[in-house]
Amino acid sequence: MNEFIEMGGYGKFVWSAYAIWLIVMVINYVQPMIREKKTVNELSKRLGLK
Amino acid sequence: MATRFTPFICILKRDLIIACRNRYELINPLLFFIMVIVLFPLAMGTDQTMLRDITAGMIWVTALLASTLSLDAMFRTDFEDGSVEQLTLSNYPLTLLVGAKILAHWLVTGVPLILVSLLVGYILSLSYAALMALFITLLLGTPILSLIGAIAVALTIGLRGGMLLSLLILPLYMPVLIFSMLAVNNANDGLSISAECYFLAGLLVLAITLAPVATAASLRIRLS
Amino acid sequence: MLLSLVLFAVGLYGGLVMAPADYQQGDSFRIIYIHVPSAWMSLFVYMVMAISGGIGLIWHMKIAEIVARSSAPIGASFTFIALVTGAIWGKPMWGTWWVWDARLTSELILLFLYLGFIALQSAFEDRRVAARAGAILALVGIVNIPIIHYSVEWWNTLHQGPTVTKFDSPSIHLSMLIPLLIMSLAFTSYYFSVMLTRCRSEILEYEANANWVKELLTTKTASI
Repeated sequence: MNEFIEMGGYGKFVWSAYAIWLIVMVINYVQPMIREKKTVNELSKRLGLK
Repeated sequence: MATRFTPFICILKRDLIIACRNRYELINPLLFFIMVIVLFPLAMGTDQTMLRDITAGMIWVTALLASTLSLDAMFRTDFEDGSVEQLTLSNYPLTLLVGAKILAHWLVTGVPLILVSLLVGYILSLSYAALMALFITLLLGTPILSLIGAIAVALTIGLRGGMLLSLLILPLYMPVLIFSMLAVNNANDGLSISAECYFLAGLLVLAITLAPVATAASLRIRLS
Repeated sequence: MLLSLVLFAVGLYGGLVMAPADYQQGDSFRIIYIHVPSAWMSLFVYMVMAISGGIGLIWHMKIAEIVARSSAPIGASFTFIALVTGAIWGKPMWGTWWVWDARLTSELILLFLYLGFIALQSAFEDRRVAARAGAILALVGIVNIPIIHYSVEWWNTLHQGPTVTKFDSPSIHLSMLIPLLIMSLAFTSYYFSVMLTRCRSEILEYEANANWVKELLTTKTASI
């Protein structure tokens, strides 16, 4: 397990790259969902459904 | 004798006359150009050999910036007083009319810029070959800048902030800069520059055929 | 989304655990599994953007405009990932974060193109106008991308000699290649699922006053 994390001395680089990738991908995925929820809420408010 | 090129010539004449009446608009980009050229030695020190190495690149980058800054004027006043709208409503093909405006803009800003660049290059003791290469690349390159710039100007016209315009066009300008600098460096080393010049000429032809069409389409979109 | 999650899991397992370490680069090559697919996707998304923008421009299809608009931020983030992981990979391999390598530079210019597109989109109030202006810009960009790519490559190879060629060996070993392909499939499906989510919320905002939206929301709130 330790070996896996260290990546033959390159762990710092490999994992930081993967971390950045993961953050960007998650933001990309979550952001439109939040936005959609917001629009739906706003529209229902406007239509007097809530 | 009204041919289809009559309106082209009319617009060309009109824009040139307007530019001549507004002399300061003509001179400002040139002043900007010279001032930025002065900035380089101030920033990098007066080491002669180093300065001579970067002179050509410095001139090209500065010419590029100067033409970017002057682009905005291409359609702005005409857009504000509604004459662009008149152009789109006319019977003549908008592509041609837009082409006239671009040509006028290049004659007014590009040509003086080329002349001043040559003068500056001469004063800063560029070699004869490099000077010739600089001249040819500027001659082929600045019209491309005006043509590509026209598309972006038409897209951003009437919007706030000149930064957007530069953001849009600078990436598109990079190939022109690359080829020009390759040519100048080759000339400096005594090599042939024909390959780069052919490439630039090819880009110019591509830009002449496509850019007026794209500019006309953008203007129509902006006014729709 | 489920599909892309599964593919990601398989690809990551294959890439991080199963594939043997590279004989030259050690384990650092494992960055390839996010670096290369995101670089591929950055180009692919730009193409999708330009083509759907063109479709929207010609046939006035709203959905194509929305697809183009929703793709831009995703494409920009793929480009960003490719650049950042490239830099992180470059640090142990080349010793610096950034080299003026041809591929890196053209990827950077691609990022500028994306950012220009997004900036232009956000500058307009009217979405239809923004979409069509953006489409023209994307089309201009797609004409320019090959030019930029080859000019940059030429500039680099003539300028400072070839730097590091990443895939010098004729073929990459199968146990490394398969996870790579799975990862790129995962990236593609991720792109489509995020793009469709974005489209959905765009459409809702676009059609806020339409009847079907009203009905949809009524049934939705009623069911809760």
